[in-house]
Amino acid sequence: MRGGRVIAVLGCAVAVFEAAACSNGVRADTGDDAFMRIAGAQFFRGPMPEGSSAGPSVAQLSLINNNIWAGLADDPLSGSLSPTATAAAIGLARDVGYWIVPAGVPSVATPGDPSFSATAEFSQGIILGSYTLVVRAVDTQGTFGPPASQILVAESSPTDAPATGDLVVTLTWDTESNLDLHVIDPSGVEIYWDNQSSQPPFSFDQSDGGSYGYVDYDSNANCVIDGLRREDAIWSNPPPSGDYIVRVDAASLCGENMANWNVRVVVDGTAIAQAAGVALDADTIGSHGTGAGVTALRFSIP
Amino acid sequence: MRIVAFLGAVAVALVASPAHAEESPPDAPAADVSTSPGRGGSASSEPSKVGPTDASLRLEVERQGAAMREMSASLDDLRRKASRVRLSGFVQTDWIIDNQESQNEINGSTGQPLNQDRFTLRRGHVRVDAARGLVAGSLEIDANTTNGPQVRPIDAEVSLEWAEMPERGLPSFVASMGLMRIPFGFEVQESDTVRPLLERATMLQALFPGEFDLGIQLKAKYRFLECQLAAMNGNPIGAKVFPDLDPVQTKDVVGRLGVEVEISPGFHFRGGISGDTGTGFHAGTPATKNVLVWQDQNGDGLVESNEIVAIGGSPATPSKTFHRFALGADMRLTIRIAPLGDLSIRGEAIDSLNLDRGLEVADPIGAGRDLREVGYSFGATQEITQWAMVGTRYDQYSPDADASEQIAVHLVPVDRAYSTFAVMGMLRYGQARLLLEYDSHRNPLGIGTNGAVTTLADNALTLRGQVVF
Repeated sequence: MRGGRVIAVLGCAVAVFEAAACSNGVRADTGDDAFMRIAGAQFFRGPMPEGSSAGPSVAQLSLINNNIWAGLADDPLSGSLSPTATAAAIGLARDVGYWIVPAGVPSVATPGDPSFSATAEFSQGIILGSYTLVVRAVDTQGTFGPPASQILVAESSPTDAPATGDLVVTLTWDTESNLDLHVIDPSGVEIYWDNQSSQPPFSFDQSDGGSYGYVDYDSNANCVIDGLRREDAIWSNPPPSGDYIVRVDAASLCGENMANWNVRVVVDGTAIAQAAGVALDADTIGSHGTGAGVTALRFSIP
Repeated sequence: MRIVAFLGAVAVALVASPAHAEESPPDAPAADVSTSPGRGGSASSEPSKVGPTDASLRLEVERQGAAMREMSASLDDLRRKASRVRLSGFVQTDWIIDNQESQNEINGSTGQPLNQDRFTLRRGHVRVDAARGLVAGSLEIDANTTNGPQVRPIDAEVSLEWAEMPERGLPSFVASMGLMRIPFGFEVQESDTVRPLLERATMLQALFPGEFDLGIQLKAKYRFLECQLAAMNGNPIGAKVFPDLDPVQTKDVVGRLGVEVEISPGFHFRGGISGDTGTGFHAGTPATKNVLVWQDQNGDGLVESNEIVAIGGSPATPSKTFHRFALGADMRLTIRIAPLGDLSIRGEAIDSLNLDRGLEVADPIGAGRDLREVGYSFGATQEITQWAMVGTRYDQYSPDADASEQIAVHLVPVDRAYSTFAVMGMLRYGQARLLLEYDSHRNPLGIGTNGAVTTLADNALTLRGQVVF
């Protein structure tokens, strides 16, 4: 009872101190869960404030390429702001927050306007599709101006060409760990590194018209690092109808602290499902055969 | 057996001492003795009767005096020869109840967790002191979990000590060599178990990180004057670069000249000025080889021949040294306020150049200009009987008093100061303490929505338990 009172008193003390200090600066936040991250910038969680026409404007916004992909790093963006601006707010619409980049000296091209430049990177968990990049100028009073926007298209990495097939389930991850893709087809057959095809081993009729899936590669097997960090389960022909279960098994982190993984399901070239997660050391405990791993997602083929 | 005999002799001496004190000095007038009631068994004023008694008394006094001097010399000799070993220590454990800086994330560059809300062993010290005659030595080990489990030497020194002899006009004198507290200012030298607030002021954590450094020190004290002078490596135990090492041959010279006086009963003053002059180190760079770098100029994620850029190698650059110094002043005034207890008012100020070794490491070679650091702190504590204490302190530290920043098209001065306003309350019981402190910090580590430097919130509420043994 006394312990409860002590904790209650301490809780009240924390609340009072927090209330007294609520205006004391900005909160520390790495913004690591945001789809877009900007190195060296200050992250603000929550939607970017609506701009005012009285606020400063973005005079110019430059991107090298509007195509992005999961894991893209060192993607530069820059521009210039109206003369009263002191910072640029940069973010993706509907992301978990936005970034503030202080304005810099004017460029040669726009000698009267403050410039801004930033280097963006995109999360491994970014989902394929279109995103709106929003940039607003901010003045010294913290007034946000009208937005300048660009459409970014998230696609597969050009260095990691997508596997082709009627149904492709792809697992990718970001560290040199040994993760494995497990897919259970509607008939209950689980394909993974130790059962690489759903085709029965002694099928005498090779042209039975059935559709069988296979796993194309066992990346970083036994921690022999190959740098691919990707496995695909592929059905080259129309896949069997029914429910599929996709599991991700962390066989070993190979000395890494963790691995962020991403699973994507593409049917006839169109992504129909995606999931992301984190594999930790605790996930490597136990069997790594049939039924191993965590369920990443379920989907159905009509 | 010798000790028992010695203690017996001391007891005899102590019993004899009051008698000796009540005796007249050997050259005292005989009349004084003769009029003492109870002495000589008679109040008669006849000199013939007093003479023999006075002579025998005088002889007895001389005999006892000689015995006392002999025993005193024997006691001093025994003290010099006896070995004294003492084991002590303390534990400080913290519960950081709330720190605004905490996040469930890791620092990408260090891999350390960013969460600060935790239980931690801030300091666990075990100390052994040994003395034999004029020679003394000490070894203190610190175990803590501030950045994960860590055990390290914190104090290890060998000393020669002479006690003060005011009757001969000689000061006390201590010469020490080893790992020891840096003799600068007041709070750097204040014991962790005595300091009323959780940690030292920010300026001291920046300029004298870890408070201990390797070197040789001479310390003298005479009546109210105290003087310390040391030659040290100049890289304290908590320095961010080369801790406990010394990349330059020249040594830093550090010293303090102070006074400690009791102005009147219950009114105690201690103050001093300190200086530090030395040589800092700017590390050179090794030679680099030619490298090819891919710059994705069209952002398509594919390597194309026109996107390969050759960057030529460069020769090694030599290391350089630079001058650094600090000047400081400190004071503490203690006033006994009955029936509460002592009111202690303290203040300290430092002006330094290129001396920051713990917060924003000063490198004037890299910066292209000298970095001037300015800091001060002041505060007060009030004992509330023997059971409690309250206190507060404000400190401010600027690692670069001449800093400026580019805001859009303007280069403007910027305040890069760190400041802390601390309030604490403490319960005391014997050698134990329970301390609750709230620290309100301001720093230049955040960026506001307008792009200007602002505080990155890191106020903290901490509960500390401490036991000294």
